[in-house]
Amino acid sequence: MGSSSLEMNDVQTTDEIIELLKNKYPILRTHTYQIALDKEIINENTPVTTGQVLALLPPYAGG
Amino acid sequence: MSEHKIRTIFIEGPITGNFVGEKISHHMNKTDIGGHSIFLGQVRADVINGKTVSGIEYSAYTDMALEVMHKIRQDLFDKYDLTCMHIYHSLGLVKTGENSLFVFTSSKHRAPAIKSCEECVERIKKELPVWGKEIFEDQSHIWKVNN
Repeated sequence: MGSSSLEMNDVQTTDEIIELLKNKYPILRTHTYQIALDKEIINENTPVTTGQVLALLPPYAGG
Repeated sequence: MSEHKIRTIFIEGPITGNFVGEKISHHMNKTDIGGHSIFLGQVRADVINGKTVSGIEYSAYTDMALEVMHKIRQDLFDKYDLTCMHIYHSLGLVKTGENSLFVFTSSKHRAPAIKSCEECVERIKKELPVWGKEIFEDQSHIWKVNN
């Protein structure tokens, strides 16, 4: 999928962002990923504020 | 324990034998060290659906990876009596037979060096946001997934 970034306004939570992304990129509905907010893995819906960075991380393959 | 600075672990391209040798020889003046442990990850020519892997192209979420690596390093220094620890990971293309990961731990005695080296490799595989595109000989690719 490569890496790309976009800015979002008027969103309150990580779940809202993920839902918007799934609508924009339907491929996300069938792929596995972890979510990092400001470089920390999160496992539940989390409030977001201006300037925070959300990243969708596919399964790792380092080493 | 002492605080360690966040430093990069990433190297463009493969980790060469010369590089590894130099890093080892840098420790000759540290005469409190009694044992080193080294892990080298190597790119394997896997055959997937009849096609042979010719190399892996690595990419990373580097800012996050360096923070995660910093945490792993601190945890291991807290847990084991280590003299030093060095970690290098390739980015970009690494061909089959070449090395892409170099973990190097040193201690007064062998046990902390060996145990921390193994634990470090396992945590890198599990926790570091690094990805690898397995490139086949016909230039097609798939995304690698760690087991």
